[in-house]
Amino acid sequence: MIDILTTDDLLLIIQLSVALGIATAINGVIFSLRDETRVITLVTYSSSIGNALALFFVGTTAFYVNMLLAIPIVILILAISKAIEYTKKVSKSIVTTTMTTVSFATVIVLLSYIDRNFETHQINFTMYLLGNIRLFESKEINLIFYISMIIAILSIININRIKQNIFDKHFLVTNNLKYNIFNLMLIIQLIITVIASSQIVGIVFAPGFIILPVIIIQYFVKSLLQLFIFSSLLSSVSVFVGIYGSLLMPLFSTGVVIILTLTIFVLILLSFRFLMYKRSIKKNILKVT
Amino acid sequence: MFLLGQLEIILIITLALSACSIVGSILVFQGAPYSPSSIGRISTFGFSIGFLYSSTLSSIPIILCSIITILVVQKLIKKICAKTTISEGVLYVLVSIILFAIGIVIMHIQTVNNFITTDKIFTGELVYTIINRITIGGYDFGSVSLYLFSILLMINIVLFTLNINGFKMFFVDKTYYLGVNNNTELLELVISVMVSITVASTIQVAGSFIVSLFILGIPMITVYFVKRISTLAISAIAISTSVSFAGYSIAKILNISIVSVTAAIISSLLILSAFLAPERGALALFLSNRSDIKNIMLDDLLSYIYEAGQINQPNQYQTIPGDISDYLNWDIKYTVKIIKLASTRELIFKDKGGFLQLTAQGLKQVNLINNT
Repeated sequence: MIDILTTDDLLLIIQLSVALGIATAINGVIFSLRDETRVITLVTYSSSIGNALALFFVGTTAFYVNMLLAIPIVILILAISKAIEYTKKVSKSIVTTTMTTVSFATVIVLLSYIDRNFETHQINFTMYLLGNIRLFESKEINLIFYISMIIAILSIININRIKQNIFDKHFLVTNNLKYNIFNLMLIIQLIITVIASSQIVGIVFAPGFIILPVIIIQYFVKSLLQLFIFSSLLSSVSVFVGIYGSLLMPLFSTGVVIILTLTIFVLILLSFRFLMYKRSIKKNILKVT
Repeated sequence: MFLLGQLEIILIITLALSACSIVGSILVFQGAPYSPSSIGRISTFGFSIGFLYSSTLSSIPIILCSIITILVVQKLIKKICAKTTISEGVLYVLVSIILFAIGIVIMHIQTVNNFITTDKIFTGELVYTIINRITIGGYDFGSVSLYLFSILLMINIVLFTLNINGFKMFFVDKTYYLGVNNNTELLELVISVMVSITVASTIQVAGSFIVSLFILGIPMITVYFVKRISTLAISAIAISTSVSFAGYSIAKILNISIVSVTAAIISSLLILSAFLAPERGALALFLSNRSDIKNIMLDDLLSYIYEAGQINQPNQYQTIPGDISDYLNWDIKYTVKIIKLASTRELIFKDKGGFLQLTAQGLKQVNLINNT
């Protein structure tokens, strides 16, 4: 498989890696800093219902069909979660966790029905849930690239609002900046990113892929812009290594290789951080003595 | 024999769901600091490590490896949280996903020549295979899993019964519990052990993701109807039995995976009870909040009319809808609605000049408001 990779193929992989890296890092920064990692998981799993429905009704997993079906479904599930939270009988985290699993169960019901009753569609759950570059249609790379560029441009335009949204929600609400509409826009942006990345990274690993780079990079940078840039870089490199690695070792899913690559980076960065910390303590002791 | 096999599957699901419901009742009341789905993913790593030592399902090495992994990871996460600024929830998501990825790699290598595929780890249904059975002297004593889940249910019932007073105290008033018992470590350890053994065993029935719904789903349905933790656990076990029967029957008719249908039934019941439960459901609460707001507005209107009559300022605010809306800062539409409501309840009437006046009953209510 690896022998037939041409320079054009490599360029396409780089283009895809950059696009996914930028889109996921932007969403990761916004939702991780708002301490809404569980929302990322909920959106990922509920958007995969759209994917399963697209397969069930239309027989395709094309990006635009997924998007059309996933957006209303995710909004419906978020509304149901809000309604359950409104009853105040159970904590917010339990509601989010349960609704995430409800979404996953719905996906499994649909997929197992398609797998056992539709002769034309045989589902490989592992490939579907853990992601595989072989499932991805190369003609969609350009679409994903343009979408991630639009997300990046929109984020640059709205950078002040994003800052307020992350660091001072109360300011945003009291200054009547149509907080709910802006929030909805961010959710839709996250849905699009998740759909774009889920075929490669896999539904199971998409939340980790979005959060992991941001959590680690935030210990090394001082501004939001640096966090965006370095998280995008780390995500892009991981996607590139993941795609290349899974083409090299067909036994492993792309998502698994991407997460393992990210894990290696995380371990290297953490040990580097630990060494820096030790050195600074030593310096301080020397200064005192 | 076929019927007996079917009964065995239903029994396994019922036992697993009941064991999960007991743990779920505790987590629902505690507010679950960690998500069972993260624990499920962590358990998959332990499951894969266990497979290195044993290829038999429900075997001691597999269950033990899963339990040890969960307990060690929980301890580590607590320590990391104490030393860094990362929140516990985020850390659980990250660690579980990393361990899950490593577990999947080990599984991939292990399952090349094995009947257990990674597909089955996601969708569950591993224990329904007829391979792993207890046979003594040629007699078939049933599936190993049947005994495993019976033991699991017994352990959960015993731990729950022994600590029920501690749970009640801990969930209602943590400070009081601390005053009586000095620390919460023992109770937290009991909860951790219950969660880990339940997840490690149930993962074979429900898969590494749906296990979370098995644990939290039924107690969440029940919480809308009962108030006590003991009643919650007993009702949850009763619902589990009916859900597993229904799930099995529907799955057989539609030819879908049994676990996913069971999960779908739990999901539907959860959404229905959260919306439609009397008193505590979203709809009932919404309607009751609305009527509360209406009553408050009605009281404001009556007080306004009473004060306007007392002060008697003809060119200032009058008891007509426009003035009431201006003075009380209400939308004119709502003002008219509240006036209509007051008229139908015979609290106010329109005099010959077109002004609103209080009836005897209205005056009585204003006096009641003023006294309270």
